[in-house]
Parts: sequence; C-alpha cells; structure tokens
Amino acid sequence: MWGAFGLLNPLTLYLGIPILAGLVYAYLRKKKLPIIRVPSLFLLRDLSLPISTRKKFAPPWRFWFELLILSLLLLCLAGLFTTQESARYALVFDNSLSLAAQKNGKSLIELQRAELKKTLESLPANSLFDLYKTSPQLERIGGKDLSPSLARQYVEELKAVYAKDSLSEVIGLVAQRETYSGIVVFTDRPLQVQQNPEDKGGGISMHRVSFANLQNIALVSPQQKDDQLQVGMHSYGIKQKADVVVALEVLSTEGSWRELKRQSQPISESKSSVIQFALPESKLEAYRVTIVEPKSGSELNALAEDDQIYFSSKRTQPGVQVFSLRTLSDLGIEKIRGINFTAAKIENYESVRARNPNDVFLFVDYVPQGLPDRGSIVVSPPQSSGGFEIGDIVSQAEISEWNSGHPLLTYIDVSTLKLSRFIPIRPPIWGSSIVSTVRGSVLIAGERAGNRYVVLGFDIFPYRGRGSPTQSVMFLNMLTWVSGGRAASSSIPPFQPFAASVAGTVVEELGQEASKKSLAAGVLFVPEHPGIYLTRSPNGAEQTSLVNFIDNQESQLSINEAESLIAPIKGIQIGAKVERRRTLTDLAIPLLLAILCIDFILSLISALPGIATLRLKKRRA
Amino acid sequence: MLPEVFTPALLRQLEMLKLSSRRAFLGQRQGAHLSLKRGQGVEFYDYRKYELGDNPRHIDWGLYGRSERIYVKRFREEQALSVLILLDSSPSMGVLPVQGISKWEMARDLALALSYVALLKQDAVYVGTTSGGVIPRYLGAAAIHRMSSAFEKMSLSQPADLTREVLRIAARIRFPGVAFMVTDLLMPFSDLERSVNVLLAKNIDLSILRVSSPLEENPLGLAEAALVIDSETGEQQELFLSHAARLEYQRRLSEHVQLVRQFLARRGVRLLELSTEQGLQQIIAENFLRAGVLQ
Repeated sequence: MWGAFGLLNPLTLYLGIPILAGLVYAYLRKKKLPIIRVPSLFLLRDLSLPISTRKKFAPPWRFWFELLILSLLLLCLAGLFTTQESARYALVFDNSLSLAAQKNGKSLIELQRAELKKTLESLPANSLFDLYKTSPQLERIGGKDLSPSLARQYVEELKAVYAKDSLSEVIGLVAQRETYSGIVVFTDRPLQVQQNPEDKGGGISMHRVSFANLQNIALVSPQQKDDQLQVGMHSYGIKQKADVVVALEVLSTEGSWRELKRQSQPISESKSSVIQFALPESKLEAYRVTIVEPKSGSELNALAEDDQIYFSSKRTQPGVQVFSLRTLSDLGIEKIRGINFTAAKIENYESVRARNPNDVFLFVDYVPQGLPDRGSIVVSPPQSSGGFEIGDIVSQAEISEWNSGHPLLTYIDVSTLKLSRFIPIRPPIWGSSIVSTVRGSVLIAGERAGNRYVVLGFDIFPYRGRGSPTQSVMFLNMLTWVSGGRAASSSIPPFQPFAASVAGTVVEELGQEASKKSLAAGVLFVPEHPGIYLTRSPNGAEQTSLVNFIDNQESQLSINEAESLIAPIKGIQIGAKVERRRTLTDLAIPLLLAILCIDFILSLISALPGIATLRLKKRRA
Repeated sequence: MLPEVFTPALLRQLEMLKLSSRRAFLGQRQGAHLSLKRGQGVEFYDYRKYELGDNPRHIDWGLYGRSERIYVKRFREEQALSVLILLDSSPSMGVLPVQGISKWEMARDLALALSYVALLKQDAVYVGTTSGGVIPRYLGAAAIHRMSSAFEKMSLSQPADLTREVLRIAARIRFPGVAFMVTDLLMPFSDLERSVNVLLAKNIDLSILRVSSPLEENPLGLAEAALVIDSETGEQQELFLSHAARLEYQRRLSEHVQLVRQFLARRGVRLLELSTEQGLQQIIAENFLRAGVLQ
C-alpha cells in the first residue's frame, strides 16, 4: 500500500529543533514549583530526592500528545508524501457524431462506454489514466492521472457531438503530450495500427465498437436555385430499395416549425439522389428539411443526427470587416445604416479572417498577399494579389468601355464618370473587366470558389451618400453583389465561432424557445448543433447563420475495410511506470483532530475537582 | 474588645473556674489559692499551744474540753497566684491556618481565656511573647480588655535567641507561680530544652500548651514538589517529596513530639496537646479541666 516516502520541503524539518526546544522549555516553565510557606524546615531537611532526580525532565502525558501533534504538523508542512509506481494509460475516446448511431435502442457510444469500463478492469488496478475525447477537438477530461473509478465517472459524461474525429492526428498529439505506458483507443472506425519499425513498442491498442450491418440515410448539400430547393440524399449500406419520405418545414412567425410539404423518394444501395422542393413565393426565411421515413434509429436509418438540413432563403447582409489605414469616419461609411462595419487592424488580418467566416472584407489602400476565401472588395490596391495585377498610377483618363448589364453598375451612368487618378488593374483568370479605360481596367469583378471579388482602381471614399451619388451607389452595389455570392445552402459546421465579439450582441437560434444568448465583449458564439442562428448587433445589424453538419465519414457507419493508422509513437514506452505522489496531509488532519479530541477529554477529566485528590488518596492507601 | 469566640456563655463558664497549681506558692496579696503562708484563712492547717498575745477567738474550745489544754487553730492563707503566660510568637504560629484560624489566633484565645479566669480570682497575670517587648502585669478582671487590645497589636517575628527571651520573661516574675507556654513546639529540641530549664529554674509550675495544625502532617498538601519557605528564617528550599519522603517526614515529626513529651514528663512539666480544629469551649471542657489546669 505504501511506497517510498519523501518530503517536498525537507528543509522544513529543521524547524523541528526550535519547536522541540520551545515545547520542552514551555513545560519546564510550566513545571515551576508552587511556593508554600511552612512552619519550619528543620524537620524537612534532607528529605527531598537528590537534585539530579528532581531536575530530570519527566513530562506528563500531555507533553507527548502535544509533541505528536507538532510532529504531524511539521510533517504536513514539510510535505510528507508517498510515491507509488503506476502504469499510465491514455484513453482516447472517440465521441464523433457517428457514435450516436443507434440500433435496437442502444447507441454505439453506450457500447463504447461499456467497452472502456471493461478494458479498465483488465488493466492493473493501480494504473492511472488520462481520458481524452476526440471531438470537436482533442481535450483531456477530468484532469491528469485519473483513477479507474474517476475515469468511469467521467466517461459517463461524454456524448457524441456534431463533429468528426481525426484519430491519427489525435493519437499523435496524445503521444506528444505525455509519456504513457500505452494508448488505448475506443472508436467505431476500423483502424489498424501499423507500428513504425523504428519504434521499440507499439503501445497502442484499438477497441472498435460496431453494430452489424448498420444502414444510414443522410441529407447532404442543400442548394437553392431560384425558387427551387435541392437537397442531396445519400444512403450508406442500404441493400434494398426503400422509399424515403422527406418533409420541408418552415419557421412560422410564432417561432415554431411548420410542415409545408412532404415528398417521397426511392433510394437504393449506396446511391445519392436529389429531392427538389418548390419554395413558396412568400418571403419565408428559415427552412428545415427532415427525413421522416424511415424513422431515425430504425433498421435503415441508424443515425438520426444527419437527418436534418437547415437553410435560409434570406440574403443576409453580412458584416463588413474593413482593413484600412483610415478610420471608419474618415471613410465615411459609419453612417450607412443596416450594415455592420467593423474596423479591423491590418496586423490582425489572419485572426479576423478565422473568426468571421461570414463577413465580407473591405480592403482600402491595402490588400493581403492572397485574397481571402470570402467575398472581398479591394479599393486602390497598393500591390498585386490573388491573381490580379496592378500597373503604375495613371492620371487623366476617360472611360472607354463598361459592362452596363453587370449588377455593379446598376443605376450608374458610367459615361459621366471622369477619372483624375487611378490604378490600372489587369484582371485575373477568375475575373473580368467591368469598367476600363484606354490605359487599363479600373473595375474588375469575378467569382472564385463560390466567393465574389471586386477590385476597384480608384478611391471612392469618403462615402458622402447623396453628395456623390455615383460613388455611393457603386459602393452599395459592390457590397450587395459581393455579399450575395454565397449560395443559400452554404453553411458553417458546428463548433465554428461566427458572431462578432461586440458587447451586447445577441444570438438566437431560430425555432428554439428561450435560446437567446447575450454575448459579453470578447466572447464568440460557438454553436454546438445545427440550426439557424440570428445574430443581432447592438447597432441593429442582423445576420443569419446557417449551421449544418454534413460529413461523409461520420454518416458512413458500415465501413468494414480496415484503415491503416501509422502510429507516431515516440512518447509511448511499453511498461513505463510513473511515480504517483500522494501527500499525507489528508490522512494527518483526521489523525490530528482525533488526538486533539483525546487531549481535550483527558484535560477535562484531570481538571474535574476531586480527581487529583482521589488519586493522591489512592496512592497513600 | 474580646474576640468573637468569647461569647457570654463561655465567659460565664470561665467565671466559674479557677486556675489550679500543682503546689502551693507564696503570694503577694490575698487571693483564691492556698498559700504556703500560715495565717488567716478558712482551711485548717495545725494546732499549737496558746501563747500570750494569741487571739482568743482562735482557741479550740472543744479540744480544751477534752484535754484541758489550750490550743489555738492555725490556717493556711489564700493568696493570689503569679500567672505567667508565654506565647510563642514566632512566624511558624501564623502559617497553615485551618478554616481561617491560625495557631497564633488559637494561642491568643487560649491566653485570653486563662487570663480571664486568673484575673477574676485576683491573680497577677504576666504576658510575654518570644518576640520581645514589654511584659506587662495585669490585675483585675477589667484588665482583660487591655490585654485583648495588646494582643491585637502584636505581630509575629522570629526571636533572635529563644532562651534569652524566655530568660528575660522569667526574670520579670518575683513570686513563683504557674506558667503556661503556648507553642507549636516546631523548634529544635535543644532550644525548647533550654527554655524549659530556664523556666523551671524559677520554681514555677509550668504547663506547655502545644497548639498544632492538622496541616503540619502534610505541609505540601497535594503538591509533589514545591518551593518551600521557612516561615521563621525565610530560608527557601525546593522540595520534591516522594511518598516515602512524606512518610519519613511524618515519622520525624512524631519522633520530635515524642522526644519533647518524654523530656517534659521527666521534668514534671504538664503537656497539653491541642489542635486548631478544636473549639475553645471544647478545649476548656475536655483538655483544661481533665488535665487539671482549671478547676
């Protein structure tokens, strides 16, 4: 039970010398003799015991109690601990969405929990465990060095989340973090560990849980084309033909989902098909498509979580992240209502890009090395970027050609425009010239990977509204066109933050009661499940965000072909033991309390009147 | 003012008593005790032949009728006694009080009681202490109050030389009589021996009243060890008394008292052993009357 003992602060023991000296001194002082006047000493002479005997320090029982208490306190102060060698294992628990699959009322994650508990019993009882979950990202649960009972307790709290796993990467990260005797992976994926021949030992054991012949149907790829909504549907492992009933629901004004129509679609073995819904003419904004038949958890549809797709027909006006050396008031755009302009620092470009996947970027007198993967407007670029190239500054040129049918030039008579100074721009492959002069293009636009880009060669700021209508309308056209580049079906996966971290921003999940959440400054909203989220900024700007989880790997439940996992296992040492320190303070405190209680009781007894007299009489007798 | 213990009942009891001496003494004045002097009195002593000048009232006419010779009766005179009360006023008398009464207070009360009895019988009372100072002579019952006041003013102090003090006190007595020495006897035997011899040399009837405290048996009480201070010399000593040492002390005390008893018995000195636990009335009834100090 006890291993080796040690002290965290051994120098503290030197305190024992003055403490012991102080205690003895206190008792010697305490032993100061009472003064008694006697009639005469002549009969008492030579009766005392020898001086050596009298001076002998014979402390009472209480002295030993107090010495024991002080010793225990000193040991606590010195940090007495025991060390015990234990094997240490990393338990990697796959909690990606596929683990939510059910068959006969039992889910894969329940099976996996049972498997983990069973494995814990087979490992040495004094082993220590670090429990990791894989999704949405690698995370250690419950701290370091859990006991088996704690690991069992924490694993009960793990649930499958709307995220995928990346086991190879995760195992590598776990192995790099600590030194483990082994890594035990619990997953539903048929992974096989291929040991790196250079490594001495594997140390990775895979525990796969699965149900036989799991079949699943998932909705994928919602797309809106005019008034038509197209939703992809894919079957996994289905071996016979079946009819799938899909319902289209709309979010009513009362905030509940109302079914609009149902549609049946035959589906066969591992085939994809597309269901089309005609959207109503009314301006309904939030839609949901759900597989109604076969029911979730049934023989044909094991995973319920991929049976829903959300989309919105509303062209949401995204926020605009402005990268410029000038302030928003210098640019004059802060007065534009309904659009949430945010001044972003150029040096924070990467982090802003990561945090605001739905926002349009406006670059004024600045452009990054590559154009971002979202709609962007570039005004007066100082350098070439993203495929377009700039030329030398040109002064005094007349517009020679323009594409009057392009949405960017709606309501604009370009012929009246005179340029006194501009930067000629050579269009890239993905773009075309919208307005050009004899000296080169001044406005180009194009679409790449679903994102729209506009590059303008002259400065249209400050925005003066009616004061300079051509520039103002052109800027608003650019914003409308660029932000409309995203398809209605485009959405972000769960666990991606999307709300701007402005104090007072409210995020509401549409169709869910009491789901409003007000964000504090600097806090980003992270959705954990699919849905339609409405973000209201304090300045009144609204943004609708679609969150959908579509992942072939997680919906594919019946993969039986083993995948290879090359173990990146530098941190794993077979048979490696870790020393577990256990401070004994928690044991010493009850012991101290018990001693103090005994001391108190004995003090009370000895203080009772008559006890001492009785004792003396007894001795006399 | 007499101390509170002298209640009217006790005073009435004392008024009915008188001091008793074991032999007759010549007195200075007429009193209540038979004297060695022959003369007028009530107690017949002897006959002698009538001589001229004898008072014819003393002729025993009955004897003349039987023998036809004239004899006169002779009587013993009753004279007052000289009473010496010697109080041990060493500091040892003031320690170890029992129920608030020290040996000194006990000694004082005893002295007052004996003096009261003596003064009522017209005896002359001399009171001296071992601390020195004047040794007044008290006469008449009214003097008891002066004596009480004098006791109030007395303080305990250690005599430089006990024998010398006793000698000084004894020199004050012109007519031998009875003497009472009230002490706790906690003094070296040699000192006591010399003091007693000095008093006996004055041909007085000496009684020693030993006043003891029950605490003397175990002076440290419950303490096993103590810093003890000799009340007489002020000497300090650390004492660590084991059970055996306590027994040894008690043996020594008892041996000392026994030695004193034997010595006093040899010298014909009466010893009355009294305790501070006893009341004054009890001492008078049980000790004084039984021992013949009072009658």
